[in-house]
Amino acid sequence: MDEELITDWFDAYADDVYRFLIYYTSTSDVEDLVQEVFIKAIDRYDSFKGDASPKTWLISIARNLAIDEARKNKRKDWRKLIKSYESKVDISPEDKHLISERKLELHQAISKLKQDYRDVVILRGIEELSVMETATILKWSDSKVRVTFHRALKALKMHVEEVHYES
Amino acid sequence: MSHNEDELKKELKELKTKRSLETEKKETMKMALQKHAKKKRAKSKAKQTFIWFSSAAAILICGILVFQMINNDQITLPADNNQEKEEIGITGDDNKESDEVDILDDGQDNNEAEDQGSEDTANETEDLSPLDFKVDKIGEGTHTILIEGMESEEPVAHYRMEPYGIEYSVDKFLDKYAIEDTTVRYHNDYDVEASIVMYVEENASIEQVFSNLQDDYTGESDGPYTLPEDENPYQGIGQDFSDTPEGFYVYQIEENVLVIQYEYDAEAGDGMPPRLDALQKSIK
Repeated sequence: MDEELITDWFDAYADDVYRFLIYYTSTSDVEDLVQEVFIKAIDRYDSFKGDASPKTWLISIARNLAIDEARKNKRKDWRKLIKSYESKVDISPEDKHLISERKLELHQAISKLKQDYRDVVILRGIEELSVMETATILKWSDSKVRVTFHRALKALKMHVEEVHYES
Repeated sequence: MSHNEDELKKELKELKTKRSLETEKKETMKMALQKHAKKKRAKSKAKQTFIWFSSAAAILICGILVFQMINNDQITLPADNNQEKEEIGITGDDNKESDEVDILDDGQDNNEAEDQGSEDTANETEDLSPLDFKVDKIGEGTHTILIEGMESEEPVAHYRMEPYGIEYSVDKFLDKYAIEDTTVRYHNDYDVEASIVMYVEENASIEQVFSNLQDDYTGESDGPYTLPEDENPYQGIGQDFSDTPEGFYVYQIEENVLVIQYEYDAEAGDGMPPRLDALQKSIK
């Protein structure tokens, strides 16, 4: 892989990978992981077949790295993450607090989901990737993506309620 | 708090942050990645070069080995054949000899083998070595001989013995020939066996060679007698032994002596003497 191509890819997809890692690791401190994703892409470029888009390939690398990272480090910096959602639009401090709390609950609920559900919720629900893109990243069929996403939302609903009552 | 699916989907979308990497951080990461890509490429190029050279070296070594094997085969095969024939000559195993004869049947193979051998040894010694000796079949024809008192036109093959340049003709009754060291042996595959062995004793006198040959023969004999000079221009002595029957002729040809030894079954008694006479007459 030459320097020009990796630069192009980085310019085009670094932010997508960055955001995906934020959702997946539930922390905003993911810059090192982003760099690692692109280093892995350089090292494994020979295995990139070109039938998937570079974005889905990079996100699948990011996902694997994030899973490894999650095993190593279970600490989640929720407060820091929520700060990243703070809107610049003028809203009352009360509303701001309410929105932040709701998002925090949602994040906590997502983190409680099992691996498959969390994958599909982040990719389809938050990242808004297409069924086909999600299927490529997770190496699933399109129908499995649809069915699992539906079940994941049901499970997420339950977890959100649990988190809400706990808090 | 209650969520239906659509509401939940909407909320999930709202979780999508617009955060992006800081520009400065991006540039630093980009530079690090370019450096890594460059390093990786150089490494990969070195690896490919190593693989290429290794493969090329392996192919080259295989090529050299194959070439040497072929080369060795070309050099050693005729020498091995000669050794085999020499052993056969000592043991006198005629059946094995027949097998060898088939290989050298048309004389051409023999010539090629000897040519190859002479190339390899020419610079090593001036002495006659087995590889210098060769017999070329130079033509065919017919000759008329008396068999059982009747004139008979028989096919004949003409040969040249090198490096002496001696030419002679052998009746095709003895249509097989084989080189055995510095000796050529003519014979046939018929039930009635007959053979003629010819070779040259270098820098020798006819008396000395004759005397040595006599020691190898026993039994009742006719001779020794001087061979008629009208047959060929050379001084010759012969002796025939009647038990087997067998015998020999020797000719002084300049400083060398040509030896002809023969042997045949008694059943071939009518045909062999005229053929031997014809051979003697053909020497030049």
